[in-house]
Amino acid sequence: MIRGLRATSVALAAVTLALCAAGCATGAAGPDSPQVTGLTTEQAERLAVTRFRNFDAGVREITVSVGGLDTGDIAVDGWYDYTTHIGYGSATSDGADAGLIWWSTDTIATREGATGDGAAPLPLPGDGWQSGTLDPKSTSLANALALATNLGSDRPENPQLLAQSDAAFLEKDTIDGTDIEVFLGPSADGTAESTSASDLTSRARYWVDSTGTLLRFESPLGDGSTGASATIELGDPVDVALPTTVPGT
Amino acid sequence: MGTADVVSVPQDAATITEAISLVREGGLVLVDPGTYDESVTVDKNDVTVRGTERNTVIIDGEGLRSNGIQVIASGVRIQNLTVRNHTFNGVLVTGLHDKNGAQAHNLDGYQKLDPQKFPPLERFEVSNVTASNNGLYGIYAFNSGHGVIRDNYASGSADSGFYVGQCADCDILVTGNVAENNAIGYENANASDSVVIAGNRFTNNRVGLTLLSWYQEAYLPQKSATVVGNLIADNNSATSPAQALGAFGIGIGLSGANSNTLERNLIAGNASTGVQLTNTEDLSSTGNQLTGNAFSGNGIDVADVSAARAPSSDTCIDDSSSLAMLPADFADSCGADTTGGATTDELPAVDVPAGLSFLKVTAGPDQPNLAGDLAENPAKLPASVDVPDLATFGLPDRSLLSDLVVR
Repeated sequence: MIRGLRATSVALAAVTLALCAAGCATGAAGPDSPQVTGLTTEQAERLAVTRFRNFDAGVREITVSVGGLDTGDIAVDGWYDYTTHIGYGSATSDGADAGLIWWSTDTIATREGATGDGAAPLPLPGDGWQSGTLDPKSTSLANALALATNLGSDRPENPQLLAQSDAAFLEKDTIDGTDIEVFLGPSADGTAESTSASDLTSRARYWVDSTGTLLRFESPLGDGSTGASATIELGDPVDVALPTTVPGT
Repeated sequence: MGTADVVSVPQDAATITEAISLVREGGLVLVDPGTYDESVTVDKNDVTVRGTERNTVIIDGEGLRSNGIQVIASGVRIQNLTVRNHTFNGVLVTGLHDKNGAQAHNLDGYQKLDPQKFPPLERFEVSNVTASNNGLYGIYAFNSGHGVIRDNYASGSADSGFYVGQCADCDILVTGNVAENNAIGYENANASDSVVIAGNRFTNNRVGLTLLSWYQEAYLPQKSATVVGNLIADNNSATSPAQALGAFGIGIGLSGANSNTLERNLIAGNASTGVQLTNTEDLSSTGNQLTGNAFSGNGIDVADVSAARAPSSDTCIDDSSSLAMLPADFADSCGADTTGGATTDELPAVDVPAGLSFLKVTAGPDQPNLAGDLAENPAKLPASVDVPDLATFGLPDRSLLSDLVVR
């Protein structure tokens, strides 16, 4: 484990494979619900393609951050390839260099040592890697990295189902001058009948532009009660080749 | 209710949707070149929607909208235009629809068709349509009968270029079509009896053609389709979306398929298997006839990989002595039961390339326009399809429709 990356272990929500993989909860906001509105057809279409848009983009710049930890904030800044499901970046803990991280859907490899200007070097350093299973239940960081792997799919989802679910529109926003809509993802357990105040802190949020491209994703970690959360920011597609294995592991 | 005999877009109506509201039953909607960012539902009987130039009349889903054209009325023709970049289907023809529009399978939440509640749509034609880069099917007809799918081109479909499903006594003719760079060229699930697939080119997909039974849909089991005079070749495309189950290098797949006739097809250059038989759960593939086909350059020409729980039976292959078979004595099973096929790891090993995004598959070349006077409203579609004499579909060579493909 990289120094500084020992994170508070938090009970984790299951990583869902898709917005509505096991059937979405249905129902509009109830009378005591926060100010959210159901999705229009067009909003549902945009939210339904966010994961596919990542696959279509291939490699995107990514920053995975974990906040709200007793041990200080952690961030991984690098790239994620949504066609091969490989991520790689340099880590910081409370702003200090914390080594390199390479991860896939089931494996995480870490390497200690400063990275100079902070950018993860390519090709990967040839030694010093330690590899193990990416268990999202092990640490908040592992949970956040696993959430990042879950944001790609080679097929769009069904917008009709999303429109009928309890997924909701929250507000308009901008990111770097791009107009964004912020959506509350559907609840995963299929039992919610209305959007409650607790949904606003327990469910993932998606910042999506007019093409269905996801620019920011936030999710509470665990049941939301600890205050720990993951933020995943996605940048432009880039032409970077990420190795599918790590040297020496 | 519309009253116009002919409505031109954009002269008489700004959108195709508006034109359909203005046209009378049995009328003609003529669409001029342009890119139309709308999802069109044709809910009026016997209407023809026709582009005036196939390659430049484009309904574009922009990677966001689900379907290009949904047909939910009887007697509708869709002709001479392009549908592209939809997350699901380019053209969907179905008798299964509700207030939310057409429903389609292979989606989370799809409800199995109840044939009593939703009787099949009757009479349709989709011709000279180019369906490119659609996330499910290019041209899809299910719970529909008495229809023609002719002279279309489909590429870049993440599932199949063409799909006919869920009908008995279907009376559907699929002819003159080209499918390339799709996960599957043509798929036929639970579509039975009078389905004729003749004179098509299904090349450079991951799988060329499938006839199959599928438990999640109505009208089990699949039986008695006729596949004649097609070119089914080189289905080893690396420039296509991935097939959902990872299939690759297969010409024709038969799964729980029964009493189908495969006649005078050229089945060539498929890296894994020319014709592959298997079971669908407990449903065997039985009584399929392979007659007068030509095989060349396939990994294995004919392979039976049925599980022992549902072994194939009564597969009859003429002139089988010249073919590469798996199991080697498979051809001897004609008229007899087998005890199960080979295992899939006995098939030729193929390197399955990563799948492309369906939006990134290169679109095909310009395609030929519908012949005749395009401004003339055609006569109402007949009650049953005028199927040509199948003897006119000879064994093709590799030049069949070769001027219409990317490669």
